[in-house]
Amino acid sequence: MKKFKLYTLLVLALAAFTLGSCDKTDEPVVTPTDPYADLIYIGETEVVGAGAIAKIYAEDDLFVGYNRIHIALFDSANRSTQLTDAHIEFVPMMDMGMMMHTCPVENPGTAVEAGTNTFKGAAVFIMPTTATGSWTFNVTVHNHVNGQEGIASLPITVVEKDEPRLITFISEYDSAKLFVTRIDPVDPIIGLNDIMFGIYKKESMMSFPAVEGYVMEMEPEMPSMNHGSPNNVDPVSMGAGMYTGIVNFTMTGYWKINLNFKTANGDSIKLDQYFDITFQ
Amino acid sequence: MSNLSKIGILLAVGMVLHSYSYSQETAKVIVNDSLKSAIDLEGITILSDSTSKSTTNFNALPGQRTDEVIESLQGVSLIRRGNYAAEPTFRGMSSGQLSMTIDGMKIFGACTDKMDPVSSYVSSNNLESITVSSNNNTAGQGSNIGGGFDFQTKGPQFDNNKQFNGSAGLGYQTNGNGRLTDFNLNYGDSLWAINLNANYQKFNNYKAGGGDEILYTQFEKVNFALSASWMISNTQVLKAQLIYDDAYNVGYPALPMDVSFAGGRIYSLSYQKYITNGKILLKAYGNSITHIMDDTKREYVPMHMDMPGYSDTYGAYAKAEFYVGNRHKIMINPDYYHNTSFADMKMYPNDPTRPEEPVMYMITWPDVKRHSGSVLVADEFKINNKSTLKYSTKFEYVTSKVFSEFGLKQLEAIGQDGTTPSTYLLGSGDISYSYKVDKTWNLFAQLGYAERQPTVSEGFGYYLYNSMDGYDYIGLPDLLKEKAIKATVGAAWSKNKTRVETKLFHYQFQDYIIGNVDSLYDGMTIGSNGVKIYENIESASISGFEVNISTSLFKVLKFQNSSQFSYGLDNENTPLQMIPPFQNTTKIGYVYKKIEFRLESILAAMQNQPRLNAGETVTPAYGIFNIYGQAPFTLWNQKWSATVGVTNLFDNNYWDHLDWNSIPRPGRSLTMNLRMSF
Repeated sequence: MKKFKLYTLLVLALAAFTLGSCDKTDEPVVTPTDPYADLIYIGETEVVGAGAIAKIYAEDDLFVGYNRIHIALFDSANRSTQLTDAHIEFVPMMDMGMMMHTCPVENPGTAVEAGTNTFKGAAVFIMPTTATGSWTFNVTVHNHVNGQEGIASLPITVVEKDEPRLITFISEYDSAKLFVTRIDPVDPIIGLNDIMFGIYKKESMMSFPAVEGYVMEMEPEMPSMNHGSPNNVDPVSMGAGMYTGIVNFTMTGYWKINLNFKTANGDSIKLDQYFDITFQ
Repeated sequence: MSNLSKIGILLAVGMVLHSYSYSQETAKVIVNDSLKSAIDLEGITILSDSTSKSTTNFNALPGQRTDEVIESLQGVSLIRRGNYAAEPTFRGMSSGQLSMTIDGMKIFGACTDKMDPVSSYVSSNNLESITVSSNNNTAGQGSNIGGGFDFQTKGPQFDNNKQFNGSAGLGYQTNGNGRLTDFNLNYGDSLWAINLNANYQKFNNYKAGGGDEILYTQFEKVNFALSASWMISNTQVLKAQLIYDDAYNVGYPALPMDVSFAGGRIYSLSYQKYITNGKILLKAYGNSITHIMDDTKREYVPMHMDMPGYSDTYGAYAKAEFYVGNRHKIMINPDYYHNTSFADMKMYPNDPTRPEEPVMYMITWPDVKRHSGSVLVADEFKINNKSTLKYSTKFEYVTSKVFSEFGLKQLEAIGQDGTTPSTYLLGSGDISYSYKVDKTWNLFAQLGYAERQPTVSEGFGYYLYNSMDGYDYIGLPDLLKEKAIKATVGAAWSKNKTRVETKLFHYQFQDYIIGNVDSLYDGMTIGSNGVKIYENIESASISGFEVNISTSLFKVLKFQNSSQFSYGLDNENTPLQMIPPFQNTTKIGYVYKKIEFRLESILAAMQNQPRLNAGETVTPAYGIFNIYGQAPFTLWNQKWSATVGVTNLFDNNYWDHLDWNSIPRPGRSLTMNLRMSF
């Protein structure tokens, strides 16, 4: 378990490092029979101006919360040629008619996933698609092969999960509007689970940076039986807005993960927030 | 030697009963003696004995249930959670500290809450005898501290004179509307013998002394046993056995749940050969126990739960007993068994605001598979006419592993690693010496060392609720084995028909296994006080004494009085739990024109040494009286007997210290039994 945590840490650190740079990294290329078997196809569109086609995959139907998103890039002239040398950024946009806003993202940068050769990032959708508001997923691509840059735009549909993965509140400390998303576990199991949250704040309609250094207190609870569980580890800030800890489910069923948010100095940001997790 | 081979032949013709082998410190109760005349079929002989073979003749009464017979044994007390399947304890030891077998077969209850002790899977009318031994090195009993119980069932009887015989009985008890019926049929020729035994009991709720109905004390039980023997030759017998036991709708007033079904399927095949200087037994067996708890009959249930448990055991053993010279009687007993224990729990949420909430699930016994191999060697050395030395040693290797992935994850959740098996190498040794001072005095001393492995619950149990102290119990796979040094001294005086016998015992435990509160954990069960985790405490001790006096006068009057006392302390000098207080049982029998009258009094002192953090409270003293009359008669050329009795004569409202949650025991009841033998 410890090893796994270290590994998660390492991957996160690596991701954080590569985010800022535009250097080419060499990844070993392994091609299984169907590299996208585990992914859900969202759609594809031409990257106008970059001579490329972007196929967009996710790990679930797009939902309000943290979505891992994979971009598979192909040469628009020769569609069987997958491009792995590019720099990619996400700019999702919600158009509500009167106003537009984006949402927190994790940009893939130049890193390519082994196996799928996709550029993997994430988008934290902060509201669902509604009758009056629609999402467009914009991807800027700097194609290092031909040196061209362009934007792909794909209308997408974002749904609200039955058990919300995102909570929103105003910080009692500095009045910032905060977004907290539960990222892991995606498929909870009995026993110890790595749990990961992302915290972001709204700076402007176009800027939702990650928030680091908060203190989280976590207490899982089974409301139907009025008990908790032992051996939980409060999530701690790992950088890039990520907070990881360990949650312990002593049985299957409906759990409520109670959370308090504080500053490093112990000032309350928001207390008594929670996520529901139900699994069987 | 010639005497022994004669005994061997007698045995071969089915008179197994007369082969009592006396082990020191062994109390053996003959419940049914089929060699006796039909009326005495339910005869009970108490050979409660450390030093000689004296007997008193207070027979088990017809229609008495297994629990009632067990409770009359010296040193034995019952932990009662209801009116059925009470858990036997011996000198304040219980559960994993004792071994419990049926015909030498290892059986493990399938209930995580000890609601189905092995004794609940036999019926009293199918019992030939019960052996209670304080010697932890008794054949076929696995590693234990306090010795154990072996329930010997009726075997088929070879018979040259009468091919068919049997008995049938009907009983009724007014309190609880108890209906009992039993039936036994034996066929035996010189080559084959088959025995079919059946028993059915159904009780409604009983009324405590004073007349209050105690809810959830009902039960219904049916037990069938079929056994067949084939005499291969004069010295070889092959025997097959099948026991089928079902209990339905069993109430447990001391617990939040009842039992809708408890079933035992027990089978064996054995081969016995008599050799010139002894005998050899080979036996293979299997059993499958299913236990289904049920809360649907309860008025107030915060949350409905399903809690089934399963325990399957397979094993084989050999037992060779033979004389070496005239002075040494050697016993060698290699033994192997395998047990699988699985229990789980479904919890049905009932919050109307969350109708979509799914069932909650956890595994309480995570598919634990246990293998055990052991060898026991014992010698009974008759030094001379005055003194006998017995010594024995046993080694057992036992390994237990969790086979449920889900269970492993649960263990991980409580910080435990279940991926490697828990293994124990257990060793024990026992030495005892008896000395016949003169015609009246016998002296006896015994010293032993014993070790035991944790039970499945102690090692792997996951949030097992104990309604006595209100805590959920969690087991630890890396518990140490429990060890004890045990010592007994005894003296017996006998003259004419009077006999006085006393025993003093002391058990000094190391790494005693007990549950202690861990405040880091939340209780799981709704309303529970928290969590206790099984751990080894540095030390504990149990000491006490037993006194037995018996006499008979003018051939018509007989008297027996037995007292027992145990005192247990943990390493902080806090009393141990489930320790019975001083108890005294007196039985007076009088025979008038073949009609036997009997008066029994059972007195228990106050237990003012409760273990408070185990939910115990001070238990007041009590005394109850029972009277019986039993008359034999002949009707339609058959032998009959009628028994009428009144139990709890003065309708006292009482409970024993070992009765969970102080549920009062039955008040006055008129009991009747009519039986016929053919």
